[in-house]
Amino acid sequence: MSLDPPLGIRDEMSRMRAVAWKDLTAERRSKSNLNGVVFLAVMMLVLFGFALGPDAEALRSAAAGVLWLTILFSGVLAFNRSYQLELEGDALETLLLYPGERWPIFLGKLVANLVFVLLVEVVVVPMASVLYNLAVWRALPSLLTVLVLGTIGFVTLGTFYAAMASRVRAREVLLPLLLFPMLVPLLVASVGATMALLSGNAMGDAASWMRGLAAFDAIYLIASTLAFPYVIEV
Amino acid sequence: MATTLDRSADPATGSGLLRIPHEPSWVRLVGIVGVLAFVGAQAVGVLTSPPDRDMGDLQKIMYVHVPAAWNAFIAFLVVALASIGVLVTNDERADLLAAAAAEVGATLTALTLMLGSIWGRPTWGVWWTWDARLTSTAVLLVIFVGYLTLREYAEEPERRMRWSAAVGIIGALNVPIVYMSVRWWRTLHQIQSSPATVDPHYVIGLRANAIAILLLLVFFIARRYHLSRIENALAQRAERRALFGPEIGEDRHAGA
Amino acid sequence: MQVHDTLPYVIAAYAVTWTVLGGYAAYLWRRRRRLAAQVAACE
Repeated sequence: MSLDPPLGIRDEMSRMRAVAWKDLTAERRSKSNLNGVVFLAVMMLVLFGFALGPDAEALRSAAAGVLWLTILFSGVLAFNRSYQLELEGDALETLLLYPGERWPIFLGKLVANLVFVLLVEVVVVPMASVLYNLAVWRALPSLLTVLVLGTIGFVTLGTFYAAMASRVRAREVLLPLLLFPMLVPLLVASVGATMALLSGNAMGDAASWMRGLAAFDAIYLIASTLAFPYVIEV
Repeated sequence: MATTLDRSADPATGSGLLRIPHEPSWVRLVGIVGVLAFVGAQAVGVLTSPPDRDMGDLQKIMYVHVPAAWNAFIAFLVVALASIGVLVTNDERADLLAAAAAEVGATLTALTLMLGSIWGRPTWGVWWTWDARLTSTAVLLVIFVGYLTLREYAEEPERRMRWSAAVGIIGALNVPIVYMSVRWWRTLHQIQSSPATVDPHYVIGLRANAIAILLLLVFFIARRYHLSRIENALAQRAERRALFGPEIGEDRHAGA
Repeated sequence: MQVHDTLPYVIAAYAVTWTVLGGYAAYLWRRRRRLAAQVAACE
């Protein structure tokens, strides 16, 4: 823990923005990563299409699940990379030596990862609606809300576990192993809301799923932010 | 004085001569009683309970499946509390306790799932149902395995301790959330829940098995914990010897 | 449900139970023996 006098909240916020900006510009310079992940995600949609058969009805009923699984499996690729900058050289130790709390580092990376995954979704969601013939226009604002809420929770946990997984040998295996069981509630709620919205939301389920998502997001965000100092400093 | 042999030194603080900790005598006692109790409870279950009118002899599987599930969750609770203890006290003993409980808990969780599957097949015709309890238990198993795998890969002791504690606590936090969301998921799809109710006839057998498995749980965790402590002490000793040579006054040939 | 229908499952359940619990106990025992040898060797 830092022995310096605490920084004010505005300084911490600007630290957070600085971390997010640094990660995003690094990502922007190596544009290959975003392109690669987007391409992979679209490929997944296509493969799911082949796997679930040409029957349009079957595809449409599975679409919500397929969409979210695609987001999860392709988004996972972003998280370990977000720590890569710090792992080269001793950048992480240097970062930790600066005065200030740890949560701006976490939230900064979280924001950068959030932007990344949302950008992937900007391509994936329209692609999915085309491939699976989904009626997204009907409930677009609510659908966008569900996407954002689900993604926030996903990115929160992903950024947290990647703080550890990215620093060990078998990072590609360890991150999914730690992360995926934790995503079950988010997946269930996101797919539940999406499915309800895509099929007209006759029962009004979507609203309660979204409330659940918001609650999950809050819990995961608070817990991860509190636990982050313990995992980043060793 | 620096050269005095401190025979009461604790490996956790690392001062003086590292003493190999001894397992308390109650552990062995609990183990013996537990094994006897388990054999006895199983015998009672096999021989005395009449076949259930609906389930037939399948009822006997519940004698282990239900207590195994309960005790897996107790182990899991120990992991959660010990992990909090690690972050609060920074004592590596809490970490070793959490790890021992995780290993035993994973074993019991796997057993619970296997027995649930074996029971389910003749009962419902399927090897697996996506009901809330079974599904949450499966997720719990993956969380345990992830925890143990993390410990494998995080070799450096302080890092392993901190990371395990964080993962343990957040994992623990999530299990009730998983359970609630799966239950919600099922009710919205209007799937009836599939409780395995216990007829009063079987309560005695169930309690006997529950106590027996609890004793086994305590024994397994306690013994596993002490094995970890000994391994730890040996490793620290070897490390110190490599760095500093034999302890002053330590007799290289006789006992410590 | 006939008794003989369920019997294989009951037997399988007992086999699994004893294998898992016994297996873990055996693992603990082997580990303990190995450690005892190590402790004796260095003391």
